[in-house]
Amino acid sequence: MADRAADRAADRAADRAADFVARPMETREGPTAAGSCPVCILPFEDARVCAGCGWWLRGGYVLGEITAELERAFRERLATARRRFDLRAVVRVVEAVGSGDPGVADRLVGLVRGGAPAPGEFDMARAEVLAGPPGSGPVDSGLSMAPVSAVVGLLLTRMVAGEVERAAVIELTSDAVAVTGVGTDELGVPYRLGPPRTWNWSDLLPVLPSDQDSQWLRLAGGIGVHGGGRVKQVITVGQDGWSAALRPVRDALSMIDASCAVVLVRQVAGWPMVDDGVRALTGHLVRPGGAADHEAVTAVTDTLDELLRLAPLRHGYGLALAEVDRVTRRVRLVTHPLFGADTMVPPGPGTARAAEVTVTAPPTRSDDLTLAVVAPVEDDPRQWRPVALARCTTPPGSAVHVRVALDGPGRVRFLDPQDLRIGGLSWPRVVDRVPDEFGADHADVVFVLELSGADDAVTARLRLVMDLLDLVEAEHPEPAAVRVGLVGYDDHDLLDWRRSQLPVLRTAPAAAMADAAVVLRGWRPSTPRHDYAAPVEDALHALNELAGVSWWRDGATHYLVTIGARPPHPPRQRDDLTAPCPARRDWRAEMDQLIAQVGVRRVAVRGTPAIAMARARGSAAQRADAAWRQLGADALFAMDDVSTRELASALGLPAGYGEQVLPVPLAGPSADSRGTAGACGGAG
Amino acid sequence: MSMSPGAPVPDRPRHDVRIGLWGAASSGKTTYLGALKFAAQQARSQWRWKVVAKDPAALSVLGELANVLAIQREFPPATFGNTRLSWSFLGEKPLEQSPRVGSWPTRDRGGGGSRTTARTNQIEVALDLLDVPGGLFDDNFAGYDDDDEEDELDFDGPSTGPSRGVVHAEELVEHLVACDGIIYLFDPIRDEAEGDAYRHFNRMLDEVVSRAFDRGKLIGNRLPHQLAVCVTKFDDPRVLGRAVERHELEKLGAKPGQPKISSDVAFRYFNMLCHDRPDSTARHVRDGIMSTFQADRVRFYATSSIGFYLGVDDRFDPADYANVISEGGRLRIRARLQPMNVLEPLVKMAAEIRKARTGRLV
Ligand SMILES: Nc1nc2c(ncn2[C@@H]2O[C@H](COP(=O)(O)OP(=O)(O)O)[C@@H](O)[C@H]2O)c(=O)[nH]1
Ligand SMILES: [Mg+2]
Ligand SMILES: [Zn+2]
Ligand SMILES: [Zn+2]
Repeated sequence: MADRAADRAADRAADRAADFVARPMETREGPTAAGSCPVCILPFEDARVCAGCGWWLRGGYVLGEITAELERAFRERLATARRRFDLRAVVRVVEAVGSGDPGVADRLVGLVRGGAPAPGEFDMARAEVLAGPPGSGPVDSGLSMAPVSAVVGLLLTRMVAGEVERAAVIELTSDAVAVTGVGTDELGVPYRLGPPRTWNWSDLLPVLPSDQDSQWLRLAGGIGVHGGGRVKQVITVGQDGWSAALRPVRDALSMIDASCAVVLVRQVAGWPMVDDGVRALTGHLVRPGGAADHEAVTAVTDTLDELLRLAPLRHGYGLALAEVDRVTRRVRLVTHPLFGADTMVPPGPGTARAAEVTVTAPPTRSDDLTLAVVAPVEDDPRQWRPVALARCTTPPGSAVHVRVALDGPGRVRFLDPQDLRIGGLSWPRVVDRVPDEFGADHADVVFVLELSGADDAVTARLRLVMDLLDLVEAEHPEPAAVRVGLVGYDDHDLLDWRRSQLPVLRTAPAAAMADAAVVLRGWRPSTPRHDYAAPVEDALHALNELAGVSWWRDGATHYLVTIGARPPHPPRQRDDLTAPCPARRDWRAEMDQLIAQVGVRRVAVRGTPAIAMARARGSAAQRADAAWRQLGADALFAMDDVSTRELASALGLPAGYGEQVLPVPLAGPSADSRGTAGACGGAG
Repeated sequence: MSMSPGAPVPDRPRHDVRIGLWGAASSGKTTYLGALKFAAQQARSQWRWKVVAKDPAALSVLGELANVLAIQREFPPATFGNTRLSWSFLGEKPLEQSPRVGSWPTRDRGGGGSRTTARTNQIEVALDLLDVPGGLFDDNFAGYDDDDEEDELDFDGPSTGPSRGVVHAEELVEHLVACDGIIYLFDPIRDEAEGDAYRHFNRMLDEVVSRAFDRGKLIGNRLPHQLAVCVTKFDDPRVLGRAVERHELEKLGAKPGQPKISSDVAFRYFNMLCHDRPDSTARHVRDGIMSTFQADRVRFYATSSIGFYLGVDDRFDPADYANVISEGGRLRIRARLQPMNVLEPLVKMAAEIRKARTGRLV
């Protein structure tokens, strides 16, 4: 019965071993615990081989005496197994944190049980770990970890899509466990709900060695000499206290009320004890009917923030532009697309996408132009969500090249133009400043012209108007916005009553500038018949009364430009030689009516009459001055030194837009407008 | 046609009354003469008057003036040199039983004898005008005043030199001494324009007084002449506008036809001008008149040779009465002449002179 004998010998050996194990050892041998594998401290029941490390717990029967030699060999074997076991953990720690902590390998090798490693032993352990053969870990963890991009991407997509409102991210690192709630804002941009709750491993597992190196070694699956000696409980892989240890984490998760959780195992993937914790955690996260609601992710080196950055856009982003209807002049806010919905920043540190568009600065004062990247989430621009606002100063009407970078959801940076001022008005304030209508001011200009007089004097008046029209036609941004009416007046023929009752006006109703110019070219000077007055009053009367002729448009700016030398006839004879109007028209009354009913801006160009007004005596000269001041109430020029440009700017005609302001740009010339979106590296 | 100074007035006995017309340059003498014909035609009193030119010069002047004033609607051109013009002014008061409108006694122009008819309802007034160029009374008379830009077109033309002016002045003095009455045209517009242009009015008067004294014609220390001070151009808004108040102006249109502005208004206005400025022409003229003429022989008239402009309704319109239109720096006449107080001073003066002489009214 050799078998029986062998069994006895084995029992003896085991007893010795158990005795050996049970006996407190010096610290170089590390902690021991009764009923546990001497190598990996995994408790065993009646297995012959340790499930955790493959150590023969009950060797083959040894025939014969347990000699000292045998015992020495056994000790040797055990020390080697322990050393190699711990060295593999050292390798794991070095792999995870070694790059930031070059001394960690030496320090941890010093903690390894079984003495200093034999030459090649560390490299061998390293090879084993990297090759990852079965048994390299303490257990076959069975933990299938999906790649980070798939898992996190899916979570973020679901969050951005609004399927998941709140999620919890559990991060496991070499030092701690952190739980962070993640939500999405109204733009679908994921963000941290608050600061993470963090537990150091030793907070969760108080019996872990407190020394960091020892702790790492333990978490990485080693045992180490630290805290050697017989202890009540050695926390290591396979311990069954996880449920209690992770209770604070679970409590925090329930506080977050997350409908989904993702476990991120950062850098420490393959640390057997951490894997143990992950398994315990994911086990808890499984809820009825929600099997897909949790995932674990391995080997993540990025921070949570970096992962959030990779979320797709819930809404597309565009540059807010004004669109002006050519006919109705109504202003509409539109967006030029920059980044479409679902756009994601490519993975990788510091990546970004860029987009560009060339727009046009408004043709008016634009010293405070707002470049607004918005998410046009609704039809009403007021409800659009601002993503990035900046202000710039641009020459009116200039092309503005806008280039922006997308660093992540809700994170847009302006790259061009330069010299931007960030911030400024809020988006609703910008919308408030968008006018209902925009376009060159409609201007109705009626020229009232004295046509009797010396040829050169009258010709100069006609010339002035024609030059003005040329100038405006050439420089006005929208010449069609200007309409011109003409009222020329010849002299009253006062020497004959019948002829004095004849009309003295030549009129051309409001028309395009070019048409008015044609009419002007056909006008010839007439003979003057009175030295001290001319029928301005009849011209004003015609503007008020002329049947069937509309001189002014509603909504247009109305200008009355009087160009002459002599003042109007007074309605009645005064004590001077100025003859009254034979029709008894009162220029003041006509003017008042015009102002009250039409609201005109009055500009006048006054020439020198052939005969000095003073010769009429009485108050004639003063009255003439007063009349011209009225006619030129808004601007009065002297014919001698007026320039066409001065006159035009008094009328505000070249600018054309008056005080109008568009707070945002107009669409650019379509040829230049392209909305490219592509990866752009090196965003800084 | 001119008359040598100091020569005896040849036809003195042939006229009932001899009246001289005097006034500064541009005061309206020539226009007044031209207006007389129209005034006579339009007179609506018992008396009918007719102007008869007594020599070919006067005849052509009369025709020319009528043409210029009524047809061309302009004022006569300025007078050059001394022009003596003689008119006979024939008045007839038709017999009640046989009014013969427009019929005048035939006169023998060549006879030179008694032209005064025996019948008491006829009168002949000789009106002598020595039309003199402007500036005659100035110390440094040179025919025109360079500085006067204002009325240069109204201004009488240049003369040939001071020596000529002295001769003209002599002639005028002699002429005035020989008259029974003087119609003095006072131009309120020029008065306003140049306060001292008439300073020599007094010097002229002094000459006339001294010459009259030589001839033993003074009554006491004053001239025996009747004097009509006609404030001229009363139609002109520069005159009427100042001479009357607004409400008076409005009243002028109350009745149809040409209004007649009273002597009171003329006198009041003249006094107003006197008080306007301490150195006003009017004041010099008034001082001269008061010290030279007998107060009861001086009368004032609001005179207009052309009259007011009346609208189509033949009414004076306070808002539109000016009869002159300034065109190209010249005044043009707007409507037909309807002289005011042109004939009246003449008739009144003739009557006064005859009354003084014969003790009865005409
Ligand atoms: N308004 C008005 N102006 C007159 C009248 N008579 C003369 N004048 C103006 O006075 C200017 C001079 O007149 P005139 O008869 O030549 O004056 P004279 O130099 O005294 O002969 C004329 O050209 C007219 O402008 C009148 O009755 N009414
Ligand atoms: Mg004259
Ligand atoms: Zn083991
Ligand atoms: Zn008029």
